[in-house]
Parts: sequence; C-alpha cells; structure tokens
Amino acid sequence: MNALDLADLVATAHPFGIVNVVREDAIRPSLDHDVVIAMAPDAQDGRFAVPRILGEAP
Amino acid sequence: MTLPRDWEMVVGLEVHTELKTATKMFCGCANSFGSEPNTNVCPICLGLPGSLPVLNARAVELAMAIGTALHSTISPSTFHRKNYFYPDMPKDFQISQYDLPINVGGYLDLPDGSRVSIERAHLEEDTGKSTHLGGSGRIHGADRSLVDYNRSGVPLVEIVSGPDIRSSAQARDYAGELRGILIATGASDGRMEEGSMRIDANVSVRKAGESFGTRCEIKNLNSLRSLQRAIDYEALRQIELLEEGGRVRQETRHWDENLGTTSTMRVKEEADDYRYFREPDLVDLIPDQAWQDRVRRALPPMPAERRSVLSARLREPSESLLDAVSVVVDLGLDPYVQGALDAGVAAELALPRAANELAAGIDGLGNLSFDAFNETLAMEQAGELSATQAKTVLAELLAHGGEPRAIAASKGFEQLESGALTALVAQLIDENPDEWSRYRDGDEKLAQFFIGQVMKLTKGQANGKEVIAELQAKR
Amino acid sequence: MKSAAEIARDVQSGASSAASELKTALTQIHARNEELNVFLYVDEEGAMRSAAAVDERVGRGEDAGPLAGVPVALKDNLCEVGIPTTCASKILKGWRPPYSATVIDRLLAAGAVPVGKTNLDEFAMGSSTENSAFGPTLNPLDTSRVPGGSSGGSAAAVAADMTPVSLGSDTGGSIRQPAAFCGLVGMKPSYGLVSRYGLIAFASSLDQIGPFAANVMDAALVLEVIAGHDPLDSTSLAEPAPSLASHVNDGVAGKRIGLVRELIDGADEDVVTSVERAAEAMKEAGATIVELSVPEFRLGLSAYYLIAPAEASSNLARFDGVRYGLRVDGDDVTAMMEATRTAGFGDEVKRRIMLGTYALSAGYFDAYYGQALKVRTLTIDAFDRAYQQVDLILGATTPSVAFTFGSKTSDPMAMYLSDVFTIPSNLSGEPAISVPFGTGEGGLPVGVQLLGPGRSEGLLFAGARVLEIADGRP
Repeated sequence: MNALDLADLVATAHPFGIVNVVREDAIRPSLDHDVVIAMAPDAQDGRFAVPRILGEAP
Repeated sequence: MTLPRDWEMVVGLEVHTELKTATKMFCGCANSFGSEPNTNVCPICLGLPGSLPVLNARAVELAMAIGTALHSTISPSTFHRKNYFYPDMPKDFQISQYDLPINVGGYLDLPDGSRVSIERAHLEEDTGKSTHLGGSGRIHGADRSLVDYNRSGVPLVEIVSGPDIRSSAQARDYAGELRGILIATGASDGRMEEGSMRIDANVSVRKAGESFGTRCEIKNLNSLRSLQRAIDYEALRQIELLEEGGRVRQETRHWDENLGTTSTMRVKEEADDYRYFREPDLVDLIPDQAWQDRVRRALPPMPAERRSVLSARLREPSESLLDAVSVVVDLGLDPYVQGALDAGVAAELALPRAANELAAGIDGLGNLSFDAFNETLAMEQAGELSATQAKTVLAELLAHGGEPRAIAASKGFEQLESGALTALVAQLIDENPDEWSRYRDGDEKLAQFFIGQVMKLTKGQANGKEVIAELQAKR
Repeated sequence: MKSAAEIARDVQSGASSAASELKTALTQIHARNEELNVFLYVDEEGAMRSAAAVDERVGRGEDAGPLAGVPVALKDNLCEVGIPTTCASKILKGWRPPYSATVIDRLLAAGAVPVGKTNLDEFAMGSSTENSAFGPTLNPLDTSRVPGGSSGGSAAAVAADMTPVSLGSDTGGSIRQPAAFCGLVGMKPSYGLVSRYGLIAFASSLDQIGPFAANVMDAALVLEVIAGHDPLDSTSLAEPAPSLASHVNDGVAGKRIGLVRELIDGADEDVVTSVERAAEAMKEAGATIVELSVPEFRLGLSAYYLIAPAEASSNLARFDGVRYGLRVDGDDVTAMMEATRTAGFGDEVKRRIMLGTYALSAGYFDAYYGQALKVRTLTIDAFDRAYQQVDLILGATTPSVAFTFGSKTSDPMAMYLSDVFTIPSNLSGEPAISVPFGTGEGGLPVGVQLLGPGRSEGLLFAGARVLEIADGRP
C-alpha cells in the first residue's frame, strides 16, 4: 500500500455524499441529575470526583 | 508603553467566545449559565458510549455572521477530532475544526486606523468545568477535583488574529472592537469576567527588522485591563531575559492579576500531538450562497459603522464628544442618542447624558423608553429642569421606569421664579463679600462657589446657567 | 424453531401469544446458555413486560407490529436502557446505560421482544468471540469451533434456536463471517441505512448494525424495521426505511452477476466449490455470470487495519474511569486513567489502540492513516467501475468454515486475514449479505457473499433468496 502514489486522490467523506446535516436550536429534555451521578465511580456535591489533576489542559 | 532600545513586540490574540444559542453545539441540552451542576447534560454532551453529535444550525449561522462581520471567506468546512486526555472532556477528544475551518481569513479595522488580519474563525465545543479541592483552589496543591459537565458541549467560536499587533494598547483596542462585533452580531454577550469571552495572548519580542522571536502564550486574562498589563509585563520580561543572554522558552504562562506577573504553566518545547483526524460522526458543512446571503442581509450595523453614523451628526465633533460616541456605541446606547437627536435634543446634551447617566444605570435600560429619555432631555434643554434634576429623573426612570413629568412633580422639582433667584443671589453677595469682590475682579472660578451656595439653599432646584447670568448682571 | 414471520403472524392472529413464544425462547436459552455462553445478560423481566404489552395490543384488536411477539437477541454493544451493557469488556462491567439505541426503540415499536444481550469480541474487535472478557461463545453446530466474530453471540443465539432473529454489528465482517460460520443469513446494510445512535462505536466510519436470521425473509423483515433516517445520527441516510420484504421473491432473471476472483482466490477448496455452485444456481435462475478482477480489493486489509484501529483509538479514549464503568485508583487523575485502562482493556483492544494511536501520530499520519483513506477512495472507485458492468457481485464470505478454538489466537495477523473478503464492503459503505450455501469440512456450513451498490438491499435479498431455494430451503 505504501508504494502507491495516491497524491491526487482526495480522502472521501460520507460514502453517499451527505452534507449539511443540522438540527434546530430547540431544547430537548436532559437526563435526570440523579441518574447521571449514579453512574459515577466517585461523586461529591453533584459533581464527578477525580484524583488531583496535575497539569492544566493542553 | 514604549519598549526600550529598538525592541518591538509581536502579539497575536486568540479569542474564544461562547455562542448565545438556546442549546449546546451537538445536543438539545440548554445552553445556560449558573444551573445546578450536571443538570444540563445528556448522553451526547456526556460523551456516553453510543452517543452521536448533531450540529446546531443556529451555531452555524452565528459563526457565519461573525465571519461576515470580520470580512472572512465563508468556506466549505469539516470537523476534526482533537484528541487528548483530560477529565473535563467527556469523550477525551474535542470536536473542533482544523485545516478546513468555516471562516478563512478576514480583517478588523481599529478606531486608530490600523488593521489587524484575521487568520480564521472556527466552530468547536466547550469542555466541562473543574473545581479543585484542597490547596488554594488552583490546580497546584489540590487533593482532588470535581467536574461539572453543564458547560461541556456549549458552542464556541475561536477567532485567531494574525501576529499583527505591535502594542498592548492596540491589543486592547482589538479585543474591545472584536467584543463589540460579537455583541452586535448577537453571537455573544462578551462577558470576560463570566468567561463567555476568553482571550489568550501570544507574545514575542524582536529587534526591529528581525524575524519573529519565540512566543509565549498567556492565559487567565479576565479583563481588557489585564490583557494590556499582561502583554506589557510579558514583553518586558522577554526583553530582559534576552538582554541577559538567556533564551525565551516556548511555553504557556499564567497571568496573576494580584502579583502583576506571568509564570510558567506548562512548557511546550514541542507542539502537542493532538492526532487530528476528520470527525467521522459529522458530515461536511457547505453553506450555499443563498444561506450566506441570508446571513449577510440579516447582519445589523457593526460598531464602527454605528460610530461613524453618529459622529457624522455632530456639528462640532470635539474630542470629548467623540469619546462619548465611542462609549455610547460600545455600550449599545446609540439608539437612545439617535432618537434624542431626531427629537431635537442637542448632541452636547444627549451624548454626555447617555455616556454617563445611562451607562451608570444600564442594568435598568429596559425600564427606560426612548420617549422618556427624549422628554427628560427636552425639559433640561428648555431649562425646566436643572442638570442635577435631569440626572435624578433619569436615574429614577432607569431604576423604576415611569414618566418624566410625573417624576419631576413628585420630587418637587419646580422652576425657581426668576425673581426669587435674583433675590437669592443678592443675599449671597451680601453675605460673602470677599468671594464677591474676587469674582467681580475677574476670578471666574468663584462663580462655582455662588452656584454651590444657591444649590444648597434651593436643594438643587436652580439652574446653574441662570445663576451665572445673575452674577454677571450684577458685576 | 418457528421463523420470525410465522411468530408474528401467529401472535397477531391470536393463534399464539407473545408470552408463550417468549417462554419457548427462554426455555431454550436456559437449556443451552451455560454450555454455549451466548448471553451475557438475559432480561427475563423486561422481556415479559414487553410480551405482555404486545399481547395487550393484540387483545385490543390493534396492529401489534410486523415483529409482533418475536424474541430478539441483541449484541452487547447496543445500549439498552437500564440493562447491563458491557461490550464484553471489564471496563464497562455493571454499567447500565440511561438510554436505548434507536434500533431497540424501533424493534419495540414493531412488537419485538428483546430478551437479552449477547457475547462478542471485546469492543467488537475480533473474528471469533475469543476476545471476550467473559469467555468465548461456542458454535452451536460444533462446540469445538468458534461461532465467528465479533458478533458470535448473536449468531449463536439464532443457530441454537434460542431466538429466531438477532442484531449484530459489522465493521470488517462481524455479521457476515459469524453468519457463514453458523449457517445463517447475515447482512451488513449500506452505511447510513441503519442508525448508529446507541451502538457503542468501534470504527465510526465503518460500523453498521444488521440482522441475523435463519432465512432471508426474516432478515428482510428485521432490516425494514430498524432501517431509515434518524435525526440523532448525522450520518444516517435521509430517506425513511425502504420496503425490503416485498423484494425477497423478485428473482434474478436478467441480472448480471460478477464473479470477482479477488473474493474467491485464497479460500479453501470447499468454499470455492460452494461459490462456483452458487454461480451455477444464479445462472439457472436466469442471471448472467461475468468474471471480473478487481485488484484494488487486495489493498483493503491493510487500509482497514489502519482506519479501524485509528478511529477506535479515539472512540475508546472516553473509557477513562471518570464518569462511569470501572475505576482503578491512582495518585493523580492521569495515573488513575492509565491504571483503569490497563486493567479494563484486554490484549487485542490494547493492541489496536496502540496501532491506531501510532497511525494517527504526527509524522506518521500521511504515510499511514492518510494513505489508508486514499486506498478507501480507490476501493469505492473500483466498486463503481465494477457496477457499471454488473448488478451484483458474488464471492466467498470467509476463506474457510468455522475454525477451532485457539487455532488463530497465537498470531493476530492470521486472525485478521479471515476478514479479507468482507472488508471491501465496509470500506466502500456498500451493502453485502452472507447466505448459507453448501457444506464443507466436517459437514459445517459454508456461506457465500453477495455484494451490491449503495441502497441495493432489495436486490441482495432477492439474490440471497434464489440461493436459499437452490440450497434446499424453500
């Protein structure tokens, strides 16, 4: 595969050419808070708890 | 601030703004500030396994509006995944745009006539927010962190300027002008303190004529003033370092508002590898000409145009009036001034009243109708209200609404009969012979003394100009 | 076992009830699941509630749907609300999703009765179901052999007469290959025909959900129910579900069928014989056979084994111990994430994540992932050219019949090679179906594959039906 010169081929997006899929800016129900927090391995004050974060986000 | 010894600073700004949409970028959760933690979340913005993103049409329109206002080319675009691990990112990748952003190129003209190029403005999703427990509340020294995903998935536009900025004042002007545009397009509320608009500055220095130096990225700039101070600090820091024979490390630095310094956050000797690849769960975005035209037609006038239209109505555009024009447009108060001018109020009155009195009570602007503003100023202009009285009426209108004449009457603001004023001035002259002789000999400043005395005695009901007329008549 | 069509007819007419059909299914499940390890979770209570609801609708004289009372098994990478969904991985052990996949909602609306979640290769990465963290599934036809993968559990559920139909997912052949190994009909639809919302992603640009069934009509009935536009999936096709069952008996008279050598060469003799006989059956049904060569198909394996792991490495990043699933503690969050993923992922998953991360990294992207995307375009163009000459393509589904446990696990490459005939359709996004035709070594079933252009599912079912009849299953 590496030996091929594929310089002119544009990488394909959706196989059937679908574009411009958008949705209306309208509110839909969110999940119940208790259900969300119940999934957490560790939680405190309604938030997901994790061990200390050592660095800022890249 | 001028830099010493032929040094020049090179600054580029990256501005992120949250978009004022009803819902998040890829899901129907509410985009609102201040809700209880983890209440505006769903499988999509939590990145639960199996969830898929669907693009918010309004976010796309606002991005196009921003691009139009910045003279960018609205281009076919794709979304990419920016991959990195961090607990506030539910999918451990961020959906953003990479080499094919929606807005390519552009520029922003500043009030001083300079032009700053725009490289791009693209769409991306915001992350959640973490709070750190233990230590000082900052990340270092914390024991554990708590994450709220309400903000995760909120739509963002990131605007990247070219490295064209050459002073901290110009940076501040750019940021201020850009904020005005973001507010005018309806895209953003521009609140830096709340974090809905965030600015990072890339700063490097060089001797005039040389190629670009190594740059540092400055974060944690929560106001335009911080932006300006931080840029100046950083430029000087780099200059001192280089003059001592040191080398500037490419890194991200944190601005400390209290200490007035920047400090190392993270060293970036090599660029982070985000392993960008096209987001397979989204399809290409190709806004057709008809959509672009609709956005362009719906775009309201931008601050530069509004300043220019208002300034053109000034017969005598003094510096102080032009400053007032800037303030008024920046705060979105120009419709009031335009309305007052239309109603025959002089610019010399309408502008200061808007720039000062309306600005001070701006939270109550919804209580003040254009008619009420016009009427108050008309009364002042006709001498029916003194300046002090007019200001009081405006403050009352902003706080509680109402009708100017009724408010004036309820406060007992009546025209002092001219006879009463003459008598009052005569009485004050008798009681203050030293002041009177100094005034009579030409010391104009003492007019203020007499005006002050009249105001005290009449509880602010006199008209300052009429007092001066009385004094002059008696000279 | 009754077909799904028969069950729906009987339940709707009152000749049977959803409750009694469910009882039959559960009896068979209880009889054989311990031995075969088909189901990771059986939802008896939920199934009984669904069955009762169907019987109630029938009782009120309403139309209970095209799959009224039909028990369905679901691959355990499909989110079902409140039901443990594990992807056969320790990292999701015990997790219950707060929402259901769109396909499950559609099955329920059609009157189907989901009975439980079936075993798979962990995160759908594998071709034998030997990569499950909860033990392999045995092939009901010969328990010394694999049922195929990654949807081995869903295939075994039907092959063991536990349910008449099931859902799997196909990224590189994970429906078609188990279908071939277990003597079933298995179809991978056109990319975007079936919503992926709620399917836990392996390789987003390749994954599709599809049906397993013992006969072609049942497969068509199920696909009709789950297909069609979903506003929750940006990649889903715009149209509503096409009519498919109505095309099953169209026949293939006048159709041109391509026999592509790259989809036959390298297969075992018994497989090649089946394909050749299938070609004869097509001719007898009035089709013309055209011999073709599509050399681009040979590149598919390398391209697939770069694209799929690359996307997977990103899709699986979210399993970090922060919000759900397994967490193994660490001194800091990064240590916690690493410890969690090290403990939670099996070897094959780790292997593919590493490969995928490498393929995407700076400096290597163009040579690996970027190049693979271009090969994908080459494959699509090659298919387009082929479909100018033929209406359908015929080939083998797998190089061999079901292999024995452990025979390919020592060399990952040997396992990957079993996907060589199925991968091209995943790369192009076009549909393909495997249908049993003939037997091979040890009397085990051989599957042959029909491939078609985008949205040609109706024609594929028609072709598969012709072969089904010719193979003695009218």
